[in-house]
Amino acid sequence: MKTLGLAIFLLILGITLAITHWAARRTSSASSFYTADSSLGPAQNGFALAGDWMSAAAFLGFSGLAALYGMDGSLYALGALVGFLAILMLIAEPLRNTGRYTLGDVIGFRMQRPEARLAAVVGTIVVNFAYLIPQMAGGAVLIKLLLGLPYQASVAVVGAVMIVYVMFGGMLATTWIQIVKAVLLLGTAAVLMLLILFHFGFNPLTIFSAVEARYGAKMLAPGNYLSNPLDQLSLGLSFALGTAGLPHVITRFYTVPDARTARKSIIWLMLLAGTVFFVTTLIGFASAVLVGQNAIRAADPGGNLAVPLLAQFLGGGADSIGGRIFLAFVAAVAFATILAVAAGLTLSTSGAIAHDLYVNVIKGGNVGEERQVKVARLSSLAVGILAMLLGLLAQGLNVAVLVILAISIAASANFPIIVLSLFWRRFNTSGVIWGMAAGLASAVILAVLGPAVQGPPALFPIVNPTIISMPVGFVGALLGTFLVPRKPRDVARFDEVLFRAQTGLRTD
Amino acid sequence: MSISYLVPHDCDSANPEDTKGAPTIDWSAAIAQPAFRELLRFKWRVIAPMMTIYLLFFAGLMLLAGYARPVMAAPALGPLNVGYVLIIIAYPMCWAVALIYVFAADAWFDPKARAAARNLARGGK
Repeated sequence: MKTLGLAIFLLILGITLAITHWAARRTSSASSFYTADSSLGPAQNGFALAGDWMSAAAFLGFSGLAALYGMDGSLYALGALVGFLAILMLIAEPLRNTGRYTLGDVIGFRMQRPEARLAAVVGTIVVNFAYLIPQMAGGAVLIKLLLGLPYQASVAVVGAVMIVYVMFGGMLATTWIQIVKAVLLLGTAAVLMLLILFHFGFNPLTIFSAVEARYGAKMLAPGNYLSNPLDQLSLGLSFALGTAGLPHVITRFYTVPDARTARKSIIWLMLLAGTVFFVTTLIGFASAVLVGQNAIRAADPGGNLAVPLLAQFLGGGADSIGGRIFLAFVAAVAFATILAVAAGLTLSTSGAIAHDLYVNVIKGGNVGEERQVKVARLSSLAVGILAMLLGLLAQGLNVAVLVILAISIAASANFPIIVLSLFWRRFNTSGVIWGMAAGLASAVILAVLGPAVQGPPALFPIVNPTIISMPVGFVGALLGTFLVPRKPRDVARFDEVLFRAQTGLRTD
Repeated sequence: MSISYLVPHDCDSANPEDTKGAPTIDWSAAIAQPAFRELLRFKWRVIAPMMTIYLLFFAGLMLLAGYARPVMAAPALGPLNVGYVLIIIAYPMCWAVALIYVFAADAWFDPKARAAARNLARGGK
């Protein structure tokens, strides 16, 4: 297992570092560093988006939830697809038309105030770190499994590799690593599905009957994981609208030249990732039937190892060569997945720090091209190191709550200020700041008071705070807006934003 | 009319290179032109019903999963219960909504948006 694991690990490292080396020579300007010069085609960005969005939490997590809790896992997976409809119809094209590198660009373009941009920086950094730390911890667990390194060393390896990708290869390297990872993940899912279908006589319905026969009809019913009905609604809301507030997803739309390409890339994403999300239920059920829930729980109480265990079983079992190869391969693909997602998050965070905070807020935009790139590289180094330190601190903690927090803050703080900036004439800087503060504070406070941190009899009854914190974010934005009297300049500014957002007009 | 807001503090402009060449565009006239109003009306008529349908479907699914669990667990098609039938329908529905939007955008929104932008370029001179 160790030798095989090492070989596959080195292979993935070799391919991705070769991509980085190739990309580094093409990354010399700020626009190439942040957006690969907006030169990607629809399929390229679609695969990269899929690589960004099919995280280990999605592929391993949704399958594991389906294996242990049935329908709740399937609803999670569907939510991850539904979220892109709001992005497609409301957010992606206006964003492409009014921004350059970051979420802060759009808010800054609308409000023309550094304070407004600063609010977007806060939202970006908090959401991205909440996402990044679980990736570090998950990647470290997989390296431990593959190579037998201790946790600390594994975190250091993940952090170092991710820094090298982003610092030298920028968006071009990140994109191609995400594309490679998406292909690997799609291939793995396809092979697993073929073997599963072979086991069940090529009739997916027999998988459902087998689950029911072994675990009873309750396994196929909702409510086994999220027992409080409000949690179900809150989760749905997070996915349906919060996905549009995730900065690392938003940044991907700057890598294409125009709105038309942006929308076509979302179709690619929805077909590719949607198919994978759909089969996570079948993979999870097959794992419950073939491996057994007890064995899945024994390996990891959260069910995250259901897919690797199923791969081992389908390869011939724990003691066979085939089983070992399959297990090592799936673990390696999951590791590549984590690296690709972590690279996207690091890049998007360093954009918020270097481009928004340093270049625009502190320096007022007066920074030469060369210096912009230098600062961008330095800030990706800093983000990577900070992520490593936080990853070390996270050892043994339940990091799953951070994933909930990330999407919840995206829905409650980022989504309201993006939508209102693009579509509400009266919205102003005060509204941006109050909306960000209200959404962020309520999401964090309610998550901390909730059962994920406090244990079951918690002050706040549900795990996912979005159903409360998102309305709070919107109300905060509304009240903040009305605190300041209507200024004709602000209101008139909206006309230009609206026209450019909807037509993609650039004067060239 | 004052155009101070048209020339943004360059520091904060997302597209500084865009605005430099055209400091005299009257944006309130730009969004008032019939071609642009028509684009917005058209977009609204396509997007609003589709967003309503899929958000209601998804919210309904989540409400049922929360408050009508016996309904979701009731047998429907062979080994599938009502919940799984709805989940399986939801995937092609999402894809269909997305494809319809992209079709509408390519065929109708884009030409109208280009026309509005062209009008503006002509009127601005």
